[in-house]
Amino acid sequence: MTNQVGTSGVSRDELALHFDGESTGAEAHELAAQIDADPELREELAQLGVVRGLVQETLKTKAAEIPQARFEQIWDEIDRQLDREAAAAGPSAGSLWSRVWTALRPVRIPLAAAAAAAAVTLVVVSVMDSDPSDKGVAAENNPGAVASAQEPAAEQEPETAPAPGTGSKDAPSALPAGDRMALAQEPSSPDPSSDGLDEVDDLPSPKKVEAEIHGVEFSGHTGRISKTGTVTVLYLEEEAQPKDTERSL
Amino acid sequence: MVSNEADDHELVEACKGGDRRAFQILFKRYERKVYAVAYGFLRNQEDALDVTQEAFIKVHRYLPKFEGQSSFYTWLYRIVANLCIDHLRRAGRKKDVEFDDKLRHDGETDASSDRLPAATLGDPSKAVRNKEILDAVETSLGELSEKHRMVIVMRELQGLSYADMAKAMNCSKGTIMSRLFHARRNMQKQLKARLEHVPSNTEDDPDGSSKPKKDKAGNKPESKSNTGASGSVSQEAAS
Repeated sequence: MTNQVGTSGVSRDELALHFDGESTGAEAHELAAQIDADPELREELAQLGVVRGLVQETLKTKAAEIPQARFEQIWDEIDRQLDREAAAAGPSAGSLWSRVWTALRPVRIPLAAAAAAAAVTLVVVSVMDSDPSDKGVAAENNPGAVASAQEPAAEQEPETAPAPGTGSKDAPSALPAGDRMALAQEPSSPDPSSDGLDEVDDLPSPKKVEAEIHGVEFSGHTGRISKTGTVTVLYLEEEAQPKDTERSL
Repeated sequence: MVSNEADDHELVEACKGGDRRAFQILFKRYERKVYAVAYGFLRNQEDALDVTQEAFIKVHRYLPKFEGQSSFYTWLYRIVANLCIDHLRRAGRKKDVEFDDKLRHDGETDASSDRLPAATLGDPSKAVRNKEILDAVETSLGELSEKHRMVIVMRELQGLSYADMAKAMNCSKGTIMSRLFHARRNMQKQLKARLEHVPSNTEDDPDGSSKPKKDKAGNKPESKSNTGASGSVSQEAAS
């Protein structure tokens, strides 16, 4: 049977097992003794060794041909990818905060938008706080709040200038009347005639009361923040195509 | 902070703790070895570099799950082998002309007729300095079927066990043995055909640096020494 090496009685399978370190125990010892005693087995084993050596050295030589700069470039790519993965996983992966952060991933943008809207509202309210004419309307809508706000200072003229771009001329004409009114609650411009605020003058003046956010409704793409006696509408839209953030990767 | 000389285990532990520099040291340590394996499988420089990059990203991702039951390099090489196999599958290369395993027991398997030429004997690292030999080995590897090339690379370069190879190739150990047998035999045949006319190292090396030693009777060296040498190279390559 030609699968045997010469007249040794050792098969090439056995020789290969021995060569690859896959034979064990008594079998391995017996085979080693046979190889030592038989030049033909040694020659066969040597042929296997030559093939192994040539394959190893050839591939090592091919690897040595690649410039180090190319591997450095690969490392840079790996480094950037790991940064992206770390950012996507959130801070201190594995911690409670990380798990919460991951769980909140679907609502992160809406929450951020709502928080931004709340911040804008607070700014608006702080501006309105300086307007003494708020008091009347506030009394109608929130008597309790008025009771705590009946101080002489509330009757003073507003000192704060209106925020730029918050006048009624910035209000979209498509807005419902109520919404336009809401926008008109902003402090008036020093020159009403030039701003077309005639309509605004007919509306009840905002009262100086404690800001009270009745609730933030946020569903889908818009949000709304209510304020005592008025309705301030802030349109918040998610980007149809989010920027290339870790969330989109 | 771990040093450049830290062993794999220390570096792996540091990586698990979030030490990016430790991971970079591991990368530098294995970049060329991983590339060599990938190139052996894929025989395309850019594909091999892509797999190298992908392998290290995957290693970093799964390091927290690496329990150290095998050595780091064995684990790394398994990942590389799997990526290469996936890559080949995706590429849909179907040039496999598998040798029928039944052939192994017929009359054509007389290995003595495929003995490698003298030029390939001696120190393989010196032999491959001869461009003709280097090209012959590379071309011969390329001529193998993908499955045969895979087993050759996994065994000869990566030093994977038959069991690991069987797992990676999703087949039995017997199949691995059979493929390895035919892959080696094919390599021998191809090398013999390509290198028969190449002068031996002795003639090719005027300074005698790679001159094979002769025994007292002036015979060519016993190829037994090759076995030992290549065995140690295998360990070196694997580590």
